[in-house]
Amino acid sequence: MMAHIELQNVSRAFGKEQERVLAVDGVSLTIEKGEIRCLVGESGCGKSTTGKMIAGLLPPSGGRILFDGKPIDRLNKEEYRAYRHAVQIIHQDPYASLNPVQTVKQIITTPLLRHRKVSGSQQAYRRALELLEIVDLTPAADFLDKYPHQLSGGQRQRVSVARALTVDPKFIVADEAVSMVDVSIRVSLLNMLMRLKNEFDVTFLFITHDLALAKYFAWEGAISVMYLGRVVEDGPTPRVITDPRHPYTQALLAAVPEADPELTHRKRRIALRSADIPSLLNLPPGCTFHPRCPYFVEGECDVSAPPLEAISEGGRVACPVRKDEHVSLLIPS
Amino acid sequence: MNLVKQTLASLGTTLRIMSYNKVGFAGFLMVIFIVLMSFVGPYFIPLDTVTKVDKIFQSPSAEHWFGTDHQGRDIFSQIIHGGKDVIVVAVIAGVLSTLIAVTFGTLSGFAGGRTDAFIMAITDVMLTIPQLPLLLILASLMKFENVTSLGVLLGLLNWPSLLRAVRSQALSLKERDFIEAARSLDLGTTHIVFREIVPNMMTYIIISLALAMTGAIYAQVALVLFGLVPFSGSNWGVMLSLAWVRGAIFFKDSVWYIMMPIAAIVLLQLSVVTTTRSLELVFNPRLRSGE
Repeated sequence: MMAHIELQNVSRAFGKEQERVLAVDGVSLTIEKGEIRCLVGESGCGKSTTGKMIAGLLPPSGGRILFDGKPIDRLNKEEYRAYRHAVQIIHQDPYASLNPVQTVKQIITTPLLRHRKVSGSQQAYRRALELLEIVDLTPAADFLDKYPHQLSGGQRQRVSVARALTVDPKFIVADEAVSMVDVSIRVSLLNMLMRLKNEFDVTFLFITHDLALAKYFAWEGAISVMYLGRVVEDGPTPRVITDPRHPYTQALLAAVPEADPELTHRKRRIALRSADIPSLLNLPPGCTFHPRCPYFVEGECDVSAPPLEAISEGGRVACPVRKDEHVSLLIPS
Repeated sequence: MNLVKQTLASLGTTLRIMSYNKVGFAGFLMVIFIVLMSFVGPYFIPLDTVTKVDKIFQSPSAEHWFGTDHQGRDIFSQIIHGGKDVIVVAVIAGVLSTLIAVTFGTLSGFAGGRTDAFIMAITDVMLTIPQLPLLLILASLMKFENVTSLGVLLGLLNWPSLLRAVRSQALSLKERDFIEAARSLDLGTTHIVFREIVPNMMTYIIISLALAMTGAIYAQVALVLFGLVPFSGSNWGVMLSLAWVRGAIFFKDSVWYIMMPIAAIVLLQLSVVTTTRSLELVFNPRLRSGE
């Protein structure tokens, strides 16, 4: 089967010369139709930049991105339009992603009318109501004349989703879509997104820094872990969560707090050699994680960047030293 | 028919929103009153041009509401007739400079690169030239046949500072997430500029328009006062100039001659500036507390 979205050795640099920052460094990823892919990593690791490149909002400075098998910079006008509409992004900050001087009605009907998804303002009105109901904003008619500042963070985020749905997207990049929303309504937002996936057959790239969220949202999908612009490990979610191989993934998982204090107590602590993330302006040679890695092997890790290698349990790991070592994160009681 | 109905409905909504701010709405009503007085009033109240030696420099009375001037003519009728020129110049100058500033400021901020560098170079040169001396020189070199040309000249000189402000706002707005969302939804550059970016600057633009208009009023009155623009007839600026030359300021009874045009100018400026308070509500839904 042809991949829906494929990244081939994609890089993105910002700035010039001395100030040059390589935000994304040679990322290769394939996302199949109907899949949920999580992109996990701490802030500044390049996950949002990757999302924006996939959504076509930022041109990569190296490598190519393929949409249904075709490089997006080679699409003709008609194909580009189809791609442009098929891939939508949902932003992190619900307070910045809606135009403050437009009503919900304007926000939703503008793309509908512009792209002739409906004929006439009567139909646009009905379709807007439908979309608001899909994202659980009910009674929908109450929301149409509201301005963004009259809505809560969660409601705004739902409006953002409804706006993305106006163009019948096939692929949604959810860039930390729930991280700025109250914890109490996160789950209902996630469930709503999940329902979209099942009902409308939307493929998701779910960008988050929170592994617990990734675990909840993408248990049937896959996780890619990024560190300083590179993918260090990926694979089916259950494998990555229960049997992480890369020391960075292990450290991330060990840091996730568990609801059960008994469980937290039994969790293995990973002692990093340094708590500081290296500056993107001055990346360490070889594996960029080596100054912090507890399994650092001198003369190997700090010489050349380790390639992503497939492992038999599923997925890929960029750590030749530890890729076949099974580590239990729970200390047996 | 439908279009008329819709226009009337949206006009009604706008007026309702404007009335949320009492001070602003009072200013708005005052502006309407002054405009009506200056444009319709002259048809009902004839201009008093007859010299009456026995009535010079009188203070306000039942017969002459605002008193009389150095030739015994009625000041009230002169005030009624003298507003038209002032308002026409202010509107032409204000609208022209705002239009230039918004169009090229947005273009500059949005296009970037060479277009930006070119527009900014011209703007910076314009900004370094002191306005009033330049105006004085130009006014003495050019002949102003009518008020329109004066308005156009003032408008052509007044845009640079607003252009810079608009450009910097466009620069910050174009990086916002909702612009990215609009790009992602393929809404087109025209839509992004005129439907997403400009509406977010409207509050600022409208205040700048009001300030540009008051600035134009000052500038034209100053030009007339210096005698550089040979306007004849009745005009608040001409009145002020004449009153000054005739020494109206030195006597208790004649001081009204100089105070009345000043009062008219100040009242017009004040109402224009306070109207922006109501207009703010129209363009920035966040400010509406009436809802």
